[in-house]
Amino acid sequence: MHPYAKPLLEILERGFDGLLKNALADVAVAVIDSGVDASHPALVGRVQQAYAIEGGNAVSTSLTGHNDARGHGTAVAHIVTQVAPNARIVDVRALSVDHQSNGDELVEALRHALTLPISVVNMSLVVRPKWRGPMTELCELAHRRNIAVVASAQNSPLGSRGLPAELASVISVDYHTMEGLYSVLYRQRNLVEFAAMGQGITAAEAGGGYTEVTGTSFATPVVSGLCALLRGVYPSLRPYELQSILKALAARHVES
Amino acid sequence: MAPSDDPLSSYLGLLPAQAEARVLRLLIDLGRRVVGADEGSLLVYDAERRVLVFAMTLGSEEAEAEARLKGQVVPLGEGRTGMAAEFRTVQVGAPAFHDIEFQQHKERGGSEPDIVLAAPMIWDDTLVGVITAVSFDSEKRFTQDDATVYEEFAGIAAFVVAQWQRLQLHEAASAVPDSLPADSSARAELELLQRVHRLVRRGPDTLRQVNSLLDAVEKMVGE
Repeated sequence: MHPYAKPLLEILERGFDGLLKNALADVAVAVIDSGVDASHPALVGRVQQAYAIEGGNAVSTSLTGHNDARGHGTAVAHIVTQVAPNARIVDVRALSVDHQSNGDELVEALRHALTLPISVVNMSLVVRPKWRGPMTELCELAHRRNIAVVASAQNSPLGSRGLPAELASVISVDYHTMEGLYSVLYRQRNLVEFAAMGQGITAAEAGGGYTEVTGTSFATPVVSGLCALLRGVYPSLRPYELQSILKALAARHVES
Repeated sequence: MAPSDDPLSSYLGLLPAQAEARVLRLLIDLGRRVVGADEGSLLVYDAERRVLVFAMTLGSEEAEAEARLKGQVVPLGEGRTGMAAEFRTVQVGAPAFHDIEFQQHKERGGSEPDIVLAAPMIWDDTLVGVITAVSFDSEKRFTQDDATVYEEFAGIAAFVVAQWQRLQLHEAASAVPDSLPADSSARAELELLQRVHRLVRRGPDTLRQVNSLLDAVEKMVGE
């Protein structure tokens, strides 16, 4: 029997949400974003490591404080934990408070994340093509290290799908109208192979309270959460096996 | 605001009366109507300062809104608008703190925009700007379909700007004769022009860099 046949058969039978009934091991999910407000009630105790990229280096930041100046990463992290109650967030802030960040910080953030004991990386962002070389190398490295990189597609109707989403070593995500968080759509012959719910998701707002969020940025952590859930039950699944299971479990397959 | 200070003119070389500028206005207006927004804006990207600059605003109280916002800057990464540019993905949601629309309205004692939709204008992997749609109706929600449609409008707007820039370059190239004069000084001058032309054809970032360099040279020569 193929190594992923057992989880595949089990999940086919029970669905993604059926996994929630299993004993789930903790899974570390790195959120490369604007930082996370670890003091938010929805995230208290969920952030296990926190870093900020400053001056080209990763420095440790507070595990209990408000580390999100832009309000994006907090919502992303909260969606990961909503889908996967076993997810432990590794906050890697790639955007500086003074708005002086550039693509170097994003590359450095991924480089740093890959040195940590993590299982999944969530990148709800697109890196400029200038950094194609290092991004390709790092995503390949993640693949070799058995770390699943999940990234948002760029929705430019007349252009490319963006980096790192368009790389073969990455699980790329777009948004689509879906029923609930435990459901994905598979796109046949599309560089961006998956789509998940990305509309009207209630998520934690940095500084307190909640907000409704919509966009590819917020569909991506849904898939990161599903990967964390799968690895919480079957830790040995490789990134390509995660992709195969996501494809097999997709609520719909479409040609696009 | 003097015409020369108009962001469309200073960043894209577009005068308000030009067809391309009118097409952009039409696109923003169509876009905001399609998604049911009270206001739609176009912000151009200033790569050197890493900010977005409000260039046009359409919708309710259009003239006032445009006068209020034109020239205002949003740093990359700030609010939904800055995040759309920084992360190159559409952003939808209640306005994050420091959104310029939020501040401006609050200062005027007006209602706060309840929801913002921001889509990056990207052409050939180059960020041109961002288009936004805002609503002041507390019941209003932008849907995923609204976001997708607005992204498509952003793509078309970016294409319009890119085509305009190409046309400009083409016209500049036509102005430089193919055969170089025998006179060594005139020949050197034309060779330099052609070199600059080749450089600026690489894209808006290079164009701005060449501009900055020429400013520095002018200052140096002036001294």
